[in-house]
Formats: sequence, C-alpha cells, structure tokens
Amino acid sequence: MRFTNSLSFRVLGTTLLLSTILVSTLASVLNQRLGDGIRESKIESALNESQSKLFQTENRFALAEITSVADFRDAIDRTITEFADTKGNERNPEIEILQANSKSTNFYLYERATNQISKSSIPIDLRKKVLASKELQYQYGEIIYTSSYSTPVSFEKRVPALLVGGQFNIENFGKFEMYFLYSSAPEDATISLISRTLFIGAIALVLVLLFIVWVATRQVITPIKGAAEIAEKLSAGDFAERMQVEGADEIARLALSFNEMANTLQIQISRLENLSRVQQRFVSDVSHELRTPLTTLKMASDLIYRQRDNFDSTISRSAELLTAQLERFENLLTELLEVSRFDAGVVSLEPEVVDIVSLVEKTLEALNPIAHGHGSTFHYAHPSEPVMTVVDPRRMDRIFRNLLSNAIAYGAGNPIQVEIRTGEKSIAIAVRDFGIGLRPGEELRVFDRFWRADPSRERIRGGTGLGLSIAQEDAHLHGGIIEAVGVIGKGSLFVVTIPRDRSEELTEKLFALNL
Amino acid sequence: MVVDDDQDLAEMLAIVLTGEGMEVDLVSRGDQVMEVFRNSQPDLVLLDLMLPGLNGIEACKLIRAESMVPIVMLTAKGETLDVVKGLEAGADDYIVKPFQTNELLARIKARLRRTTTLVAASSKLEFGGVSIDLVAHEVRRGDNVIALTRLEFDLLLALAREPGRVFTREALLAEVWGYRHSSDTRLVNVHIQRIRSKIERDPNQPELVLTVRGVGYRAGNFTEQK
Repeated sequence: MRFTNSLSFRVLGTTLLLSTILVSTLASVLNQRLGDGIRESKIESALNESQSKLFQTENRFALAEITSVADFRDAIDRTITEFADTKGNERNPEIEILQANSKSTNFYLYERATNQISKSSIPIDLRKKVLASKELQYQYGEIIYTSSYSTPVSFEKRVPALLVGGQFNIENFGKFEMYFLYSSAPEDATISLISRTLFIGAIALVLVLLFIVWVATRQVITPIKGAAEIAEKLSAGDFAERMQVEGADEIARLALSFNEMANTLQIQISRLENLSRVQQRFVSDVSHELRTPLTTLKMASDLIYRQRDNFDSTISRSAELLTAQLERFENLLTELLEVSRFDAGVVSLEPEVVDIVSLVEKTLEALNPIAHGHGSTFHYAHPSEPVMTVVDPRRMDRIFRNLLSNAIAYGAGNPIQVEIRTGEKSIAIAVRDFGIGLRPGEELRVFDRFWRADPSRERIRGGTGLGLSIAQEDAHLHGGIIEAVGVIGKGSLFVVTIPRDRSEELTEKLFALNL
Repeated sequence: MVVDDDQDLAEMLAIVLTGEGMEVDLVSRGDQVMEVFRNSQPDLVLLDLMLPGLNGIEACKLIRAESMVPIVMLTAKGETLDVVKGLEAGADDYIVKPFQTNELLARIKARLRRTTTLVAASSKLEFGGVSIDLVAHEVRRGDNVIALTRLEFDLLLALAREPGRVFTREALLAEVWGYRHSSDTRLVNVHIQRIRSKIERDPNQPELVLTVRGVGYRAGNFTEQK
C-alpha cells in the first residue's frame, strides 16, 4: 500500500504536523516564561543580598577605627577576604571594590577583588550608572577570571553573570563602588534542564498523540478496509462474502447497508444469469422443435418437387414456390438462431490457421453460379503469396458469403471487384459493386437487422435482412470490423478488416473508404 | 435403421429411403435401439441425438461397442460440442436438420460404398508395423487385428494410397465423406484423432498420420507390398 493512498497514513501525517506545531508552541512559551521567572527571582534575591552586603561593608568601615592608611587597607583586605572565604558556593557572588573614577584597567591602590577577577569584568557604562545613582544598579555581563594581576593576560576565563553594583562613602577616603558578580551558571543549568525536559516531554506527547490517533483510526479504518476488500471480491464475482455487523454505530450501519447492497446485487445478477440461461435454453428448444418438422416438410416438398412434371402447371409451380419458400424459411430460421446466439453471448471462435486468399477463392467459386444468374462476374485481386492467418474459417466464409451475396443482390448485374490487401498488423478484404449504392447515412444502417436499402423497393428474393448484421458480428468476434461506403447509382464498397493478432486494436487503414 | 422420436420425420425418411430401394427399420426410443439393432443387423444407422429413454450419444456408444456399422447422426443442433460428442461416441458422420433429401442420400450412399473395389493394384499396404489388407478389409499391427470402422478404414486408406500427398481437410471430406462444398473440418479432425488413438504407438506423437500445419494431413512412412 502506498503511503499517499492510505487513509491512516494521511490522518497520522496530519496529526503529526498539527500536534508538533501545537506542542512546540506550548513548550517554547512555557520555556520562556519559566526562564524569565527564574531570572527575575534571581535578580530580586541578588539585589536584596547585594544591598545587605553593601550596608554591611559600609557599616564596617564606619564602625572601624581607621586611623591610618594601613588600617584602611587592612579593613578593605579583610572585607574582601571575608567575602572570598565563602568561595566554592556558586550562589555567592564574587566581589569587587573599586575607587570611584578610577579609569585604568588595572587595580588602583585601594581597589580589591575576590579570586583574581579582572577589573574589566565591570563595564564602563555600569560604573557610570552606579556613580550616578544612590540605588543599586544591575546588568548582565561576564565574570572575567585572569591568571594574575601582574603578568599580562595569559589565561582568561569568562563566566556569564549578573552584575550588581552600588556606591558607598568612606570618610576621609572618598567614594567607592562595590560590585557583586553573581554567576548565572546555576540558573542557566536549571533553565536548560527545564528546556530539555520540555523538549523530551513535547516529543513524548506528540508520540502519544500519534499512537492515540493511530488506535482511533484503526477502529474506523479496519471495517472500511474490510468493506473495500469485500467490494473487490464482489466485483470479481464472488458474492459469498459479507461484512460483520457489530453494535449499532456508523460502522455497523455501513456494514449493514453494504451487505444489503451485496444482497441486492447478488439477487439481480442471479436473476439476469437465470434469464440468460432461460433464453439459451429457449433458443436451443426452438432450434430443436422447429427443425424437426421443417426437415419433414422439406423432405416432403422435395419429393413433390421432383415429381412436379407429373402434375399440371399450377400444382407444379406451387411445388416450386413451396420448395423455394421452405428454403427461405430455413435460412431465416438459421440466421435468427445465430443472431440470438450472438445476443446470448454464447458464440465462440474455432480458430485455425488458414490461407485467406484461397478461403475467399472458394467462396467466390461457390457463389459464381448465383452471380452468373444475376449477370455479374467476380474480379479477384489478391497477393501472389498465400496470406496465412488464424481465423474461424466457417465464420470468415460466412462473412464473405454475406458480403458477396449482398453485392450480387444489389450489384445490378455489373462486375463485382474483390481485393485482398495485407498490412503489418491486419488483413483487409474489399468487396466493391457498381450497383444501386447507398444513400448518405446508410453506411451504418446497412448493418441493422432487417434493414433494407429501400423499403419501397421490391424485395430481393431469398434475402433475410440479417446477413450483414451477422457478418458484422462475425467480424467483431475476430476483433475486426466491416465498414461500408456507397454512392447512389455508383455502387458501394464493403471492407472487412481483421487484425492479425485478435487481441490488438485495429490501427491500419488498408482501403480508403471513398468511391 | 432409422432412430428418431419424431414419428412424422421417421415416416418421411422411410418413404424417401424406401424409394431409393432400401429396407428401413424404424425405432422411436433410445432404449429400444439395441434390441432392434441386434435383430435386424442393419447396414447403416441414422441416429437422432435427442431420444427418449436413452440419448443418441449413449445409444451410439452401445452400437459402436458391438459393431463397426456406419452411423450417421441426425442433429438439430449445429453446436460444436454436440457434434464433437457424437463423433467421439463413434458416429462416422452427422447431418444437421433441416437437410436436403439429396444431401442425406449422398451421405448415406458414401457410407455404404465399398472402397476396396476402387483399389485394384495393390491388395496390401504396410507401414510402421501396421498392415492394411484391402481384400479382408482389415488393419493389423503384428498379429493383432485393429478394429476400425469402415469410415476410419477408408480415411486411413485414402491417406495410405498416396503416401507423398498432403491432403487438405476439404479434400478428405470430398474423398471419404462425399461432401462437395463443405469446410466442416471438425469431422476430419475428430476422426483423425480416433484413428491415431487406435493405430499409433503414441497418439500424442503420431508417426503414421501426420499433421501438416495450416494445410491438412499426410501419411507417414508407408511401404507398399504386392
């Protein structure tokens, strides 16, 4: 089964697409909101902590008895060391204390930082904001760790961080800035954990949805598939199969009406089959029942006919008419039965390899006396080599016989031309007469049953009106066709074309259909 | 002997055949065929296909089991299946109702004709282990007599007399059955099969009666003996 043709795959595809869009939107919104929340709470706690540490530091300096520069330097060192002692816990900030307006990237005399972090960790614009306000300022940046103060940068490690800064005054020493550098690694780890969890959860959700949809579609599709399979069997002629009806839902209704349809079909078809059997039976019965008395009649009339010279002229003529009409009756009966066999579809080919040239030749010989009786002669043009092909010789003979009889009957005593032409894929036989011809539009009607070229005209003796119709059926049976064309007063042309291979369509035109 | 359930047709047949100088026994039921046949030992049987009691094909088989007498089927059906069934049951020829009196008489006479009188030159033909004795009207393989109907004998003889010649089915119909304008080749095909099944060592690979594709039949390797 191809994917595009399967309903369940289409439904699953749609489900996959829609659920992916939905779940990923949901997950990314959730991710965003959670991240924002975490960052906000971090900022809040960082500000609170920074504020308290700033006060603590400011108070320390205010309360310390600083009498000398050395005291002051000790105090700063202790402050920094105290804060640095808590190292190892990522949640504790790195600290930097800077002198206001110290522009150099190196530390000034009273400037300190924990854990060898670079002065350049604090961006200039943050410092400006800090100096401009009494409030704490913050922004995101990086903690830059360097290898040492003295040597030029040979090692540098950057850690994303929240930078919080505030200012404080120390009597006699002026304004100082204090910065708290909170590494954001813990929050980032939390956020990425949440993201990963959301991502995995989203995929799992989509998969679960797909599974649910698949199960649901199965419930609908299995009966539909069953119906399709049974419908295929029905169309193949197997009427035994029915759908199972379970419950009272839509599927059950489908099954119910499907089975009803199958039943109706089965009944109709068996009725038709029966009808056709009855018809065949009838044809066969008529055949037998009519033929036996007709045989007796014919034998009796033959007997009388042979002794007609012994009777007076009226009785003798009656005997002649009786015999002739019995023959006509017999022909009519034979052809009617043949037609009804065609209608019942019980005819079959009995193909043999034959030479068409000699087959036509034989038919011409057989009909020669009749042609002479009408004053016509046959002119036969054919390939010099035999034309071997597989046909039913009896039917082909009948086709030629019918076409030739027709040409004789309506040929007005003029010569009749017969020609065989062969193509790569087909063989065509043309019968051309120069008699009364056909009116426009009659080219197709000549093959109608009991149709005559001119209803007002005298009937040609012996004709049944079924000959051309039967010939056409015979041609069709060979996969071929008979085509006709005619001009009033100039005669008509009938062309039989049969394919060399019965299964192939006719494509060649060996005779032009015009006069 | 005429077997037909239609009394009127049977009577008409009797009138015509008697007019030709023949003696006629009439039978109207299939199950009476054998009784009359044994009593009268006819020279030829005209047998209708549809009979009460026992159908024509069964009756034909019964007669054939006892006798090589010529059997001509009278049939109202021109359908292949019935014709072939009749021929396979042992009928020599068939004629479809309604028929011409002349045609019927021609067929009957062809069946009654003694072909041996036509052959004066040689009295015995031999080929491939099979010998045809024209005088005794016998075909033997070794010492075993092969039972052929008169028609089968005639057909074999027609082929054997001119070993080189390829006979078309139509030529055989004319020569053996006495048809003039017929192309009913089924008749020939069925009888050729019957002969093969009797005389060939392997009927599926015939050596004596050969098919010439698209044309007809010819005899295999014949040698003629005086």
